[in-house]
Amino acid sequence: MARAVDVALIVLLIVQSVLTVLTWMVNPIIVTQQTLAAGYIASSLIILSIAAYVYYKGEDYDQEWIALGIGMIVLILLLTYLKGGVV
Amino acid sequence: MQCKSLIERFADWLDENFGFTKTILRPAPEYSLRNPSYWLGAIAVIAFFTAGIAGIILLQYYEPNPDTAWESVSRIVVEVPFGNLIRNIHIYSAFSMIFVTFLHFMRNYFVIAYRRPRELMWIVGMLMGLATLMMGFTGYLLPWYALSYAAVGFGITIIKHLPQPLSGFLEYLVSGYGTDAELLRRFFTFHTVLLPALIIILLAVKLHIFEVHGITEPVSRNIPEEEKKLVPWFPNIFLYFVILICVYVASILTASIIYPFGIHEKYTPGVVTIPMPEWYFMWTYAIAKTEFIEVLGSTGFSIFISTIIVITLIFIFLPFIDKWKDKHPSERPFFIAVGVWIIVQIGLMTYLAWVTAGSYIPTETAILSIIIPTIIIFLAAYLYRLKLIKPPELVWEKFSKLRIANQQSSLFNRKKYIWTSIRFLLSLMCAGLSFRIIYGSLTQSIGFGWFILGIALLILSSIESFKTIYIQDLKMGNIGRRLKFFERWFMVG
Repeated sequence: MARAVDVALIVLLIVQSVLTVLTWMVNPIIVTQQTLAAGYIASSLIILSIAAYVYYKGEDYDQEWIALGIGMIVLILLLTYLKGGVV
Repeated sequence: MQCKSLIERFADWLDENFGFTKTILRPAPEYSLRNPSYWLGAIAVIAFFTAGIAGIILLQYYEPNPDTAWESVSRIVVEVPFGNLIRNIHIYSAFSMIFVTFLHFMRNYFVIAYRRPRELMWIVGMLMGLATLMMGFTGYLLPWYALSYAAVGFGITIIKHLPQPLSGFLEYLVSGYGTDAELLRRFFTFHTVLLPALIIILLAVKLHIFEVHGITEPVSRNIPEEEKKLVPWFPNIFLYFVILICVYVASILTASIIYPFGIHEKYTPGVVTIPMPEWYFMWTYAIAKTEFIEVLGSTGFSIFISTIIVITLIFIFLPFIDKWKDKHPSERPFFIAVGVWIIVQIGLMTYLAWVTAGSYIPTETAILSIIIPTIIIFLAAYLYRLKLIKPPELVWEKFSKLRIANQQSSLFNRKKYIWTSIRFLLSLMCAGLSFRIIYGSLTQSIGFGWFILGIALLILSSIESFKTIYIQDLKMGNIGRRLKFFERWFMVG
C-alpha cells in the first residue's frame, strides 16, 4: 500500500510541476486562466488528501471516501470547463 | 528487515530533525478523529491562516486611500497576475471562518463545552468570535464600495446610539474626526494589524488551555472503550490535519470557480445606495429596520443595541451563569430549545433582511416571525419535558448485525470495487451537473424546463449515491457502524 501511495505522490508532484509551469506560461490575468489554475490546484489537493487518507487508514480505508474524492476531482474539472471554458 | 517506503523514510527524517514523535502536543482520543465536529475550531484556524496568507499578498497592491482604494482593488482584479483568484480565496476564507466559528460556538453550546475547567476557554473563544466578526466588518469597507460605505455608515449609526461615554470613545476609535481618509485608514489598521494580532494572542491562550485539558469529553454515553484510547499527534493527527487542510483549500478554490466575486460600484460623495451589510450581519440589519424600531426612533435603536449587548454578555459569561451545566443535554430541553431558537431566528431574520432589501419590515411580519418559531420550539421542549415526545432510540444496535447472507465484502474484489467507484462517480457527476443546470436556470440564462431537469437529475443522482453506499454497507455489515456515526454526529445518546 505504501508503495502505491509513493507512486501516486510522485506522479502527483510531476503533474503539478508541469501544470504549474504551463499555467504560469499562459497569461494569468485572464479570468479563464485563473479558473484553470484554481481547478487544477483544487483537484491536486483532493488527490493529495486521498493519498494522505489511504496512507493514514492503511488497509482499513472506506472505498466510498475514495470514490467521493475521485468524484470531486471530476466535478471540479467539469466546473472548471463549464465556468472557464476550454483553454 | 522490512524495507521502508519513501514516505516513511521522509517522515523518519523529519522526525529526526523536528522531534515530532516527542512533541509536546497532546494526543487525542480515537473517537475525536471519527467526528469532524470536534475539529471545527481547527478548521476556523486553517481558514484564518488561509485568509491571512491571501491577505498579505493583496496588501502588496492595495492602497488605503479613499481616492485610490477602489482603483487598487480594480487593478488587483484586472492587472495583477492571479489577483482575482487570490482576492476570492481571501473573501471565501473569511466567510468560511465566520461560518465555521459560528458552528463551533453552537456546537460547544449544545455539548456544554464550557463545563469546569474550561470556563476561561469558552470566554477566550467568545472574544475570538467577536474579533472575527469585527475583522469582517472592517474588511468590508476596504474596497471602498458605495454598498460597503453605506453599511459601515449604518454600523457607525448603531455605535452612536450606545450609552455615553462608550459611544463617543468607540466613534472616535473607528472614525477619528470623521473624515473619509481617517475612517478608511483606521479600518485598514484594525483589519490588517490590530485584530489579527488580537486573534493570534487569543489563539495562543486558547491553544495553551486546550493543550492542558485536551478535547472536551463527549456527551454521548455510548463511546466504546477502544475508541477512547489516545492516538499520538504525529503521524495520526498530523495526517488528519493534512486531509482537512487539503479538502478545505480545495473547497475554497472550487467556490471561487463556481461563484467568483466581482467589483461593486465605487463610493463617491452623493451616491445613494441601500446599506446592505454582509450576510453574517444581515440578522442585525433586519432587526434594526423593522417598522417598530424605526417608529420608536432613537429609543428603538437604543433598545435594540442594549438587547444585543446584554445577549452577548450573557453568552460570554455563560459558564458562570449556567448553574446546571453538569447535566446531560437531553435532560435540559429548554437549554437546547434556546440554541435551536437562536439558529432559527438568525436564519429567518437573514432571509427577511434579504427579501426586504431597501424597505422596512412590517411590524406584523416581524412579530409573527418571532412568535411562531418561539411557540413551536418551546412547546416542543415543554412536551419533551412532560415526556410526551420521546427522543429517537439508538437504532444502530438493531442494525449492527444486518448483513446479506453469504456475501463477502467487495473491498478486495477489484472488479466490484472499480464498478462501485464508477457508479458512485457517475452519480456525483450527475449531481454536479444538476447543480450547474439549476444555477443556470435560476440566473435565467437557461429556461425553466432545464430547472425541472436539473431537479430530477439531482434527485436521481442522490438516490443512486445513497443506494450505492447502502448496498456496500449491507454487504459489509456496515449499516450499524454508519448509523452510529450519524447518531454521534447529532450527539444523541
